[in-house]
Amino acid sequence: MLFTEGRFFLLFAVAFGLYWSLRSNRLRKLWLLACSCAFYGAWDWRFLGLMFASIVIDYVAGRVLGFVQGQRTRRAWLTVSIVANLGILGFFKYYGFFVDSAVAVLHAAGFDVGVRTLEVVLPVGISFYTFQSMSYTIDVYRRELAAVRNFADFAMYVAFFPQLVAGPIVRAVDFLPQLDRARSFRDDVNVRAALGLFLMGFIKKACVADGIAAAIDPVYVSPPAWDAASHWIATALYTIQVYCDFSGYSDMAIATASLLGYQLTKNFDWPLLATDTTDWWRRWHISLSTWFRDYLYYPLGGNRLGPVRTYVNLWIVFFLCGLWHGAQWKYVIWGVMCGTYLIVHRFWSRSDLGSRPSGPARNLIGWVVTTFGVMMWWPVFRSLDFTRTGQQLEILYGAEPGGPRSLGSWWYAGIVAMLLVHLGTRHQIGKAWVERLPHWAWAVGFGACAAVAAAFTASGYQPFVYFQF
Amino acid sequence: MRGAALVLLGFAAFEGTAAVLRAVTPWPEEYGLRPKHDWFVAHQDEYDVLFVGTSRTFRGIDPRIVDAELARLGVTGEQGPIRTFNFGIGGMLRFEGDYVLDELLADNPARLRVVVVEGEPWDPAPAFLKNTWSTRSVFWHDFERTRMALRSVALRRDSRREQWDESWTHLQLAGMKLHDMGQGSRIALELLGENSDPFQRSLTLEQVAEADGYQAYEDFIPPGPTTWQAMQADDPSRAQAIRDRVVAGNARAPDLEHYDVEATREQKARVERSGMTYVVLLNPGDQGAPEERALYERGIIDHLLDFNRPDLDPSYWDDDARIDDLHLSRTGAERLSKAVAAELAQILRSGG
Repeated sequence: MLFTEGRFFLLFAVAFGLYWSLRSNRLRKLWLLACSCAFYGAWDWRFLGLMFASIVIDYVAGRVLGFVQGQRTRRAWLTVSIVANLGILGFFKYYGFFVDSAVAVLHAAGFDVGVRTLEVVLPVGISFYTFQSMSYTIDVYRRELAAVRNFADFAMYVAFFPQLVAGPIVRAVDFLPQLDRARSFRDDVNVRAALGLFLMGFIKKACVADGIAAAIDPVYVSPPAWDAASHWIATALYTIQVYCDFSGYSDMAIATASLLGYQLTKNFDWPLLATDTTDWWRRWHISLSTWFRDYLYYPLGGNRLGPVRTYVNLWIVFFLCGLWHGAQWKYVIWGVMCGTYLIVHRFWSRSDLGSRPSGPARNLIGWVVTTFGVMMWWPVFRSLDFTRTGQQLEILYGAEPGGPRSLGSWWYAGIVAMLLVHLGTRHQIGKAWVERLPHWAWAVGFGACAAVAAAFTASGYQPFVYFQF
Repeated sequence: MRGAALVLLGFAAFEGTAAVLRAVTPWPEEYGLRPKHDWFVAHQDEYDVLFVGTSRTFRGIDPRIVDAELARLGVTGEQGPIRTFNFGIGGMLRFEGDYVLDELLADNPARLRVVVVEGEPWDPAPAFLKNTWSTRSVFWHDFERTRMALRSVALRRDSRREQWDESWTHLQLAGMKLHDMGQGSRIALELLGENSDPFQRSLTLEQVAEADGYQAYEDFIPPGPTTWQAMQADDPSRAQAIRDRVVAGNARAPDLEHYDVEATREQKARVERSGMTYVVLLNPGDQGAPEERALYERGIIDHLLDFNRPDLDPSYWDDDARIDDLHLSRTGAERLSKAVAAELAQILRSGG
């Protein structure tokens, strides 16, 4: 069930209506938990069992960590939680990958190994809720958070449907306190802001990202058929597609939660305007970046152990970040590329030239270099296989001439227009004017914009790019 | 109270804008659907006979031959020689054809006397409909056709689960039609003067005008390995096997319990309310059609042009007459058009 589907709107209308008509906070939470199960079960009800296994493990681990004082026992329970979570994730997401990779290595070394791999179905959103659930146990272990007593509260924290399948990865410390009191529609919900954000997310996903996907997918399917200009356009457009797809989902998730009175973590901060690679990672998939920072990079020593160790730590983090995205070597390579870019930037920013104060010209150059760099790692991320990625890179850099097909040069204008809109929304152009509108005018405008957005949705089922993770 | 009023206002703006967009949304281009519509609407008072059906009709009925044959047989209309238009479209479902027919008859074309509808089953659940959300699937889902499709789903032998899935598909398609979902790019391309046919299989207006909607299959797709002749060369017994299958299919007991008889009744009534004669055509195909014949025998339809009878006339399954299992070649179309004209002559003479 996608946020852009008719059945989601039906589910949400029912969820929203009954939720706000209930007076008891306890009943409201139970109702939202039931809705979350229906939402998740719509993909495959069997996945619910797996999610609840993860919930039970971390709930019990959290409860024990809450009252046990001995450090060894606490460490043991944390280990149980982490091993169980990563075990589930590893089996469902990485089993086939590791077995296949091991067989390939052994085969290359001359050992003919015959291993039957299981066709394990990847449960939707497992990487997201596993990380979210794990962060709770780690926070309780660190005594940064009190253990949750109420199982339903913890279950709702993990399973809350707006953020369940593709984030943002919400921290327990931010979310659990919101469950303590009944949300007030008057005080906790800004309807105009929430609906506006939802519509913005819908447009990003259903109109822009899906429209771009329909245009550029053929380029990635048969790279030699397309000319070099089309490959450059497709590369730039895929950068925009991934951003609009994922940030659109995040916007809709945040808006949906907001209509129920809950605040979720911001996940994107206009990353396409980043002026350096470090800046990019502060703006892109913020909830994942900060997760890796707090639960991996800092424990590894962060930047406190000298430059070399800092680079090694960054490299490890991005290697694992790539692997988190998918059980394929392309994601590992993508992660390593991202880490290497970041290390190069760190190295540069410590030099005399790199540490000079910023200004408009420097920011512009930084933006061009960063954007180009970011664009260059997406072909690996998007690739269907390494053969086709190689063909695409050869055409992109002029080693091969490419084929006769062309995407059409008007896409250049489209890319510039989309970047200008991105810039305009960053500077909130028109926002004050919209906010001054009386409610009736806003309602009319919203309805009309929603109808136009619906008309410009791309036809066909387009799952969110990040659902596969 | 104020909140509810604002919700209603927003909803009204949404529906109002969708209605405006719906009004400017062009018809789909595929297989000449839109050029045929535009041509027929512009020249609706020039035709006496209208054929509506699938690609079997599109490739099987040449109006110029039908008209010439009727003239040879001495059948004329009040305003001169009979003129026929072929509104056959590749992959057109019976419901889609029903929608098209309603649109074409909306202005009560002055000369039109006979409407010939291809007698394919009212199939509300073809495999391609589900999760395709193509423009062709969406555009005919108005209230009337959605109601008919849902009724047909309820009549099917499918399980409850399947019926629910099929019904939900139609409701979603109706929602998409109502709100013009996914049509924005076609409106924009229209404004830019671009062709929005994703398959580039459209006829031009000139092609429609030249042959009154007919196009020989040979002029559409060049001969390939799936053509009748190629497959016949691989398996010489194939033609006879198909003829046998059609004969056996025709001999099967009709299953009207799971057939949407009511849909045929409604379609016939609408055509007759417009003052026209309703005729059903069975093209020479690869399956039997006992249900349509049963409707004729029970008097639910008055005129049946049945050419799906290899036991009576096997020539439509000869090598020279076919291009593949479903479609006739130019030679086959010529033969069928003449035979159809002969039957139409009787209907027209009897006051149809």
